[in-house]
Amino acid sequence: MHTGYTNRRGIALYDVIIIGGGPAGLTAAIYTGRMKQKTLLAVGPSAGGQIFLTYQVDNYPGFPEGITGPDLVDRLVKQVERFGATIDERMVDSVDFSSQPYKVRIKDDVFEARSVIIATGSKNRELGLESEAKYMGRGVFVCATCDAALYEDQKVVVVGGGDSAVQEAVDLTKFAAEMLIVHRGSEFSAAKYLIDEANENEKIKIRFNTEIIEVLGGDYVTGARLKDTVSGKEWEIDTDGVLIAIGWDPNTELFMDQLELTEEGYIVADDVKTQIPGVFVAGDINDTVYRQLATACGSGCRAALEAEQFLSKK
Amino acid sequence: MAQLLDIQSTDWDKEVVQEDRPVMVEYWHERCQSCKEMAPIIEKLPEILGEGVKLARMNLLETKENRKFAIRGGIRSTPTFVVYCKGEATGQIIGSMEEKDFIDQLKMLIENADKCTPGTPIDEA
Repeated sequence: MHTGYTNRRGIALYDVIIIGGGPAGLTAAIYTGRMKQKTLLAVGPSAGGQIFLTYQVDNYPGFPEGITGPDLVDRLVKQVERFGATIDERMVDSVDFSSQPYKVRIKDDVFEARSVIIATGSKNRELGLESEAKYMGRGVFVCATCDAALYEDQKVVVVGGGDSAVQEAVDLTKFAAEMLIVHRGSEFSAAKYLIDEANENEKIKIRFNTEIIEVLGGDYVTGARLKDTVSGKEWEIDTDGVLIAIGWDPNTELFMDQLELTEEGYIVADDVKTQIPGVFVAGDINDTVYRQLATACGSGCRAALEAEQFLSKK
Repeated sequence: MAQLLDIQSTDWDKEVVQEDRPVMVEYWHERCQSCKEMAPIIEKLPEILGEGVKLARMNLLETKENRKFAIRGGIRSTPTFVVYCKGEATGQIIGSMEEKDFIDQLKMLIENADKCTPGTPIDEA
């Protein structure tokens, strides 16, 4: 049920429309709702973003025993609802920031907003191999939390060298029998405590200076072709799964013709303020450095406070 | 009234192999975001597809046997929807998609399960 003010053209007008339902968007909605700003939170088909895909969250303040990603998302959604934001579970199709009030279109509905917070997060980067696309869902996967259970007692190759690759390899050992992390570089960029965890885990083997050049199989993945990036030597290994964890790209396609983007696809912004007054960004969509749950929540909070300030001046 | 049955790998013979109609089994679990996205559509299936097909779900986090069973059956991602005829897979859909595309594809898979006893014709939704 949409509860924005209805203007004389019958279009619902909100003080704030927040696009994206991960921790940044949810935090922003808690703040704007609590500040009595009429808020529409467009979360898409499922709230939570990347944190929903995380088994166990151990580094979020206030949860000394840890909490699962899905449980945390449930709590955040309840907290948003408590402060009255309207939640729309459809995808936003287009936005128009050319004049006030800004317009956000969802299917056949157009909503107007005096301010907009963009918190659409990021998506998994792909290797770009033909065989990767062919075996996606047939042994190639990008979400350890989603598919780990299907690799019980199996062999899995994890591609990547950052926090997510190493963390997901460690998580996968709950189910998988044997893991091989292959990383193009000569060392991990992951946090030291994660690297230590991986080194101590007997199920995990690591190969640096190695890339995957082809995923092999019949109906399903049965192996992979690897290449040593120093010697150029190529060889094949047996594996039941290939987990791709080589980083993320920001979900900014929706805003390409509305806002200036950097070469890497990030929105040009001064912290949470974009170049358009009243349009803000929050969370992983514009974070190239930290990408943590706590930092996403923090920037959601900053964007909401900036939106409040912007609205009070009008 | 047609319904959505929660099954375990141990129910396989009784619920799938010995069933005369085609059986659709969704392999899913509660940590899977795409499964969550598909859930509202799946809950409507009994009404849309009627009695001509048996509808079942297997939760892969519920038991180790369920996981072993799914892995042996070639399931590598959730959700995977497989249509069986007398326990033999005749087609599958992997992942989440738009409601209309999903229902169209599923109807096609059910109609292709022609070794099964023809059930009630599926109504056009």
